[in-house]
Amino acid sequence: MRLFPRSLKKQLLLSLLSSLLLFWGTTAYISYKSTRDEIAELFNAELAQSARVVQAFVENMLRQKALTKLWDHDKSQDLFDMPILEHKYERKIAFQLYSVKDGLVLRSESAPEFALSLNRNGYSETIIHEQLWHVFSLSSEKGDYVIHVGQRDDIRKQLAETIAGEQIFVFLIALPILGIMIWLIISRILSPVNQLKEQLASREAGNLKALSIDKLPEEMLPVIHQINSLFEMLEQAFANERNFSSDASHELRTPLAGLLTQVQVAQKTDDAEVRNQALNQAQHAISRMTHLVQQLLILSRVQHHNPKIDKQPLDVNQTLINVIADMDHIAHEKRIDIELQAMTGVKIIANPQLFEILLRNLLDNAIKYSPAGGKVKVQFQRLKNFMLLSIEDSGPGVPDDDYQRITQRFYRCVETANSVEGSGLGLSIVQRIIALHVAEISFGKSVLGGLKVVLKIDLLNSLSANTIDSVGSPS
Amino acid sequence: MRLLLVEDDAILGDGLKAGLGMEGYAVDWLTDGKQADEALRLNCYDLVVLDLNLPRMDGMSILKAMRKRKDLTPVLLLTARDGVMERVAGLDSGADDYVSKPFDLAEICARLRALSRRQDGRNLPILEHKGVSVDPAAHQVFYQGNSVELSQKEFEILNFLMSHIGQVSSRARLEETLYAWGSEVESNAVEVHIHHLRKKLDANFIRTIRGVGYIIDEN
Repeated sequence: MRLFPRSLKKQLLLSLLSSLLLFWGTTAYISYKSTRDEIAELFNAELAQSARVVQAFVENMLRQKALTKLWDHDKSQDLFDMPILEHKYERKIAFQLYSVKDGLVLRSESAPEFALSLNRNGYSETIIHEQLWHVFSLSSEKGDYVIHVGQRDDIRKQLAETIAGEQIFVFLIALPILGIMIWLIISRILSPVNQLKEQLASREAGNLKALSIDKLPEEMLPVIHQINSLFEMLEQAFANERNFSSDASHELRTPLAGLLTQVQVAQKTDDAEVRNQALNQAQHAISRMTHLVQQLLILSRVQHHNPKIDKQPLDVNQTLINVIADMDHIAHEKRIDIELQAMTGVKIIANPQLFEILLRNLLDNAIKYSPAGGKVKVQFQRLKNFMLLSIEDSGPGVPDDDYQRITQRFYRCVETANSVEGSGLGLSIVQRIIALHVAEISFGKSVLGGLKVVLKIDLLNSLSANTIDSVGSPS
Repeated sequence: MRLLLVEDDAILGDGLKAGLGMEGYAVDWLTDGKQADEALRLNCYDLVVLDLNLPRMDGMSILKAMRKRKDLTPVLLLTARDGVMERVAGLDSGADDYVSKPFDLAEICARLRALSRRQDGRNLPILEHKGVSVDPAAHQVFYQGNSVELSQKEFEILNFLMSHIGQVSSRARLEETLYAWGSEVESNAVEVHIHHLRKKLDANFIRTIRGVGYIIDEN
């Protein structure tokens, strides 16, 4: 078993009870000690008092001559007749009248036959028959007799122990009652924790509604707020995921329906020309779906990328040259002229694979939307603390109202949706990659007539310090 | 039967136009919501196949506008989403049926036939009148128990007249069921088809009402 149980309830109960026990134990010990001292004082005073009473009595009798100085045994017998011991403590209290001349004259039945003390005045302690006695002695003025009044120590001890014992007894009864009460109080105070536990336990996996903060103690609110904000983030992530699969299935269903229809037309027709046309369309549908699936995979991969992706210094000019070289054949088919103006030797901190996907998508758009014989312009230059990478085309452009929406998944501009094929995912991919880097994207009108996409890359965060000096003049 | 197909996806639209054309429908295909709405206001269609997700004006709005102006042309919705809510909303907005993408061409055709049947107020799939029976699904015609070979256009005219027994159909109306936009209409095509039908069936089966049109009499 663990020394400290993990249950808050048990911890509270144990620590409360043990500190109570410690506190009470110390108090009990101190009060036992002081009770004993007080009892000793009280009894000592009583011893002295008794001695004086006996002395007054003896003096009175001497004055009345009822008692001669000769300490006549026979005559004094009646006067000092001792009744039968009546109280259990009486045996433990004794007195002696001791004459200097005649020795022991008078004693109580409980008193020994020898002197209780050698003192003639004041307090002393004597051991008689292995018992400790407290004795108070008092001499007469002339010094002819001494009165000893003694008391056995065990009376005092017994009394102190009885008092202490009663305290312990009360506490032993009180302890379990106290324990039960503490348990009940703790249970009551901790009941919100239990309610929370049940509220959480009874949830279904998909239930990400915020937890109610009614009736919850202040101390728990920060935890609940944290849980709720976590729920909110999860809900958001799930909703994104749901929308994504729903959108993806929607986007795949239409081309799939087209493919199926074309294949069925091809099967059904007797006309060879119609069949060929349908099969061509089917092939077209397949290549379109392949592209869509590829883009979906890239987007899904990019979306699940950790923001702390692996980044390294990347030569933008070189990357641009590579990507443009790769896409040149598509541009060439449409007789599109791609112009590159880039600062050389500038490195930004980026993930090479993702940055290439980004450039490829932007360039692909620019080529796709430019008319045959059109122009695409790529620029990479410095502006104060930023690097600007712009890609412009001579296509139809995007209406101003649509800038906000073109990065949404599957959003396609009405004007071009039918004339140019696309998945509607390219700019979503670009935006997600931008979000993973320290950069911004903006859209505008190009002097070439089409869309101008500008990436603004923060130099301070993105560019390594040693490469900033090596920035050359624009090529 | 004249059919308006509204579908913005080029390949699917092309396939449906070809596939439905093979079934004998005269198909007008539009890719834009606004244009479709206008076409529906200006023309008279027997059937509409409507995609929901369209540029400029979505399918649901087109459908609602149709029903609002009491246009009761049967509408078959094409939906790309799985959600029940979208189908419920579609049906509640006045659609007669829906098909989820991807679908089978045969299913679309069967549903369209069912829609025409319902429109004509009958549940039997085969039209029968005075010894002539027309099976729209199988594209077969029987006269007094014998199979009759008809051309596509002859079949369409007979099918249309059989669906409107006791009603006069104008020549223009019959032309509409035969020809989509852009297809060339021969000037006396309908007369020629009627003439052939009279030869293959009973000569008095289809009656000409001069200057008005054609009718198959109830008795």
